[in-house]
Amino acid sequence: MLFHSIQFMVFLPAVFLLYWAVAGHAALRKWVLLLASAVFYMAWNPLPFLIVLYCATADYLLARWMSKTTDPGRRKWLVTVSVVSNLGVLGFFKYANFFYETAATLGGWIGVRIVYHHLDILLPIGLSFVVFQTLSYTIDVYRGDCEARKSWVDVCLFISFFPQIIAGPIVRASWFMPQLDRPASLTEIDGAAALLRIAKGLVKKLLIADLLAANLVDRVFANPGHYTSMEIWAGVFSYTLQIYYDFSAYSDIAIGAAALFGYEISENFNRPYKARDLTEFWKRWHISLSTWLRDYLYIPLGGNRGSKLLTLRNVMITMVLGGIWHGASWRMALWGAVHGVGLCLTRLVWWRFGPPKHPPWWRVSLSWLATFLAVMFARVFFRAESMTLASKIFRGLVPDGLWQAPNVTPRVMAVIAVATILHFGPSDLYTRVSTVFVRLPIPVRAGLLLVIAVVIKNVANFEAQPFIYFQF
Amino acid sequence: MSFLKRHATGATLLFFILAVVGLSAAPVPEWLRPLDDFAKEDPFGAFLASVFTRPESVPRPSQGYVAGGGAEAIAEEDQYVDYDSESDPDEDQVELAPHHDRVEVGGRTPTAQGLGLDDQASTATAGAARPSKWTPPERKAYDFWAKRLGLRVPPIVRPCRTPAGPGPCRERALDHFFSRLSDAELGRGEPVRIVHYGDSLIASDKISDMVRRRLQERFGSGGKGFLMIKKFNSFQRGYRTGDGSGGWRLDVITQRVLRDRYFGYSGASFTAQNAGEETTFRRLGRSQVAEVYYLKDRKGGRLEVLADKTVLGEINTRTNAATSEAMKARFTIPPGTTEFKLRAVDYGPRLFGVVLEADQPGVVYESIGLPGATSRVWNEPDREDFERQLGLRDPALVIVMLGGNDGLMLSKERTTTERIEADLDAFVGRIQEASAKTDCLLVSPLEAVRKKGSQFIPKPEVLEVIELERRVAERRGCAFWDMHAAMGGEGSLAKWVKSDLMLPDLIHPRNRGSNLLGEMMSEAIMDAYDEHRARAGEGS
Repeated sequence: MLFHSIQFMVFLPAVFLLYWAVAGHAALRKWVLLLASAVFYMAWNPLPFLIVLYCATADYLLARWMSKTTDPGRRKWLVTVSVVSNLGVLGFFKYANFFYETAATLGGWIGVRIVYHHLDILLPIGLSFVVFQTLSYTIDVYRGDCEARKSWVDVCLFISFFPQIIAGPIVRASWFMPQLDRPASLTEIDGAAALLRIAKGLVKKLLIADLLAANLVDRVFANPGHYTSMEIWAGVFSYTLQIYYDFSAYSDIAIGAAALFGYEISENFNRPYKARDLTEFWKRWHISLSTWLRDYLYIPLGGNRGSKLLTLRNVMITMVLGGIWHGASWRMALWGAVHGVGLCLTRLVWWRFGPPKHPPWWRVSLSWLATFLAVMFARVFFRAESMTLASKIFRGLVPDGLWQAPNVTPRVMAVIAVATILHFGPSDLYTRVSTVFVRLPIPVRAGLLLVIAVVIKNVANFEAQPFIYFQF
Repeated sequence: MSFLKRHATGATLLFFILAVVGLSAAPVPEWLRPLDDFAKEDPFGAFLASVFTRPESVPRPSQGYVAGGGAEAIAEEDQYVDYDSESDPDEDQVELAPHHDRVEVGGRTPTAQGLGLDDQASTATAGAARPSKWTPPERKAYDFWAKRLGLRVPPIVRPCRTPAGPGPCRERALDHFFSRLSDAELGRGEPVRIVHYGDSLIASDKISDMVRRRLQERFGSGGKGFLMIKKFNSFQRGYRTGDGSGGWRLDVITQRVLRDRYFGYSGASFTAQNAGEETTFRRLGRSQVAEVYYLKDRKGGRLEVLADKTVLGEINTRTNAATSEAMKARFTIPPGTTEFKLRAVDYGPRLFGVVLEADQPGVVYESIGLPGATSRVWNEPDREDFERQLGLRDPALVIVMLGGNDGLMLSKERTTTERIEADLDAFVGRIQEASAKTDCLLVSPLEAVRKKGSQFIPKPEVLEVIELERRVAERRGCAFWDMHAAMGGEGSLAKWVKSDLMLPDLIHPRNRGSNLLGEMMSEAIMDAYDEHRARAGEGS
């Protein structure tokens, strides 16, 4: 079920009504949310939900065993089984073809003939998020950061909670599980803020991300040869905006929807394109993933506790694997590697000269520009459907002497301008709007939401597009 | 009040829902209605249908980013396929010739002939209006939409091709094509080749696929016809191109900068950038003959031709001659072959495509569409080269369905009607120069609109393009079919959009919209054919 579909607009109030009708009964309200999550997920395809249940059940049992033993060896063995089980599921459903094709290619290089036939394996929606989330449960239990839950429903709900099952934010067990034990409550202010947050997400998705995608980005990336270099620059810049507004819109709706049931989900974005270096960028972009990778991959690899060379190695491994997490292709690995190299260079500069303490404005500006351009260019690998198309885009960025962009219509330019201003404008604008909104009388609030719905209906594309991160 | 305070969020939601439903059902302008369903006859039924419709856009297994919309989505997103439009009508009918040979044909244009005795004889036979074994197929989806949208299929306009004078017209546009069709219906004669030129609407081969399907149901299939070397944009269908390796350089006439003018009659060429580059054609169906269209020039190289693992021969596309020349090499495909493959032995072979034919009576329908194509770009290929290749194909009918992109350019004031008319006239002139026996049919573009709020404002430029196409057809003795009128004329696109027959770009129809257009076009052709047979019968 898509957040911006009519189905979800009916589903959410219905679940809201049912949940708060039984909110006084702790077990019942969890069952309501679990069943609602199952319906939400199975609206796309019912069978993959069995995989979600398998992951949840396996980790529930393993965590229970872990909690019953103090033997470090046995606990390590159990957490290893959990890691292998979850990564096995991910490896089979997401990476089987990738491994197979890579083996065939490598075999060809060394003279071993492996015939590659594409395996028709369905990738369950949101599987990467499910696996990372469920892994965080057993690892947190292993580390003692979280207690093993006695209730199977708690674990299943943590993994399949519908606001974030498809595309995050990736919630930690140590953060979410304690919320299940609290009495259900929703204040007027929190409820109003949640509704506004959902509306904000819909506006970002339907009035910015989708408009940029349908009117410029998709066309430029499909046939770069048909566009002038100015149009390709506009297309790549627009994609940089589109992916932020698309993904952060999803996070907004997820956070708002969860808040309607009294649950708090961590923030996922903090104006990432304001970053002045790549390290700061990853502290602002897809925060739940970058902190997950830091805590469950980078630090276990050794983090920055070893030599400088080992630190750089760990950064590269983390970023390349992070790239492949986004998509089973070497192109995505390359995208991760580009970021890894950028992070390594940043560290090398800091090791040599120290982090800048009070840099002059021009140096800050240059640093910001270099970071933004690096992120923007790396996105070409992320978006282009093949390396050939990516190279065409890069060639297209070279000025061709045609200083015109007839395909960048005034409407697209307006959307780009609004998106840019909103991103780089005053950071407390939304907070101020939200503060006013939650104080308004109930009918006025409802009226404003209605106005937003009418504006979306009239300005958005006729047909919305799925969220970009759904495929991961 | 305290109840509201305690249930403030629920109350806000309730007020919001009531306001949405109330406003949607109220007699207010359409743009003010949050939900369109409540303005329909059965509002709650329509709303429930919307709610319980499965989500259309679902992600596919990913190898990295897959576009959520745009061209990729245009090509593949539509789940409401009324027909199995990916199936290949030739698939299950494998009857292959027992021998193979190879003939290289020089670049000579076949002699253009008028209607000779044979042609007249066949016309006379066909004109006897024999009862046909063909019965019109059941078309539930088409009937449903035609009734719902109130569609009427306008007739094909067929100008008289003989000089004006007393008495009835002796020869109309399409007469020759229809006599060839008539032969095919009787199970005799050569394959009846139809070449359908166009833009992205034809590149996707959806409208044309339906026309092909209907014609082949009645007149038999003569094979797949011309296929490009590899798929180069997401509009195209895999089974209408070869499965090419990654090192083929594409040159296409819609590119902004062209390296030369050698594009054959398909507007695209593929040059092997490395030795070992290959392309494979599968699902050969009833194909018995393969023709490789290539450029013989100084930069060429050798090309190996294989049927499964059997080498059928080698083509040397290199020449020391100063001029480049479009050529074709013909091969017979051995029985039981599952793959027809071309492999570059050296760097450099430049190919246009491969023809797969059954060498038996029936319709061969080639769709040659290039996304973004205008009337101008089809004049880009070298004239002699284009005419030679088209002459070698010897089509009975060439359909030209352009104008959509011309209209767009016109609306942006980047061209003029005079320019478009001159370009289209020149392109039709090229076709007629290639083969005097070839009939031509011009098909109008679809309606184009711009969206203002929830309103669809028809673009007047489309009507200008349609009128200039009528003039070119009249002047050149070509038939003309108004697809814009078939859709319902000016203002009809809004209905198509509301019936979910168009993609969100408002330019390309969904599969079911394309099928509908294809059904109407094939019906118009069949009606004109039946009328031709009836007239010929009266005359005999």
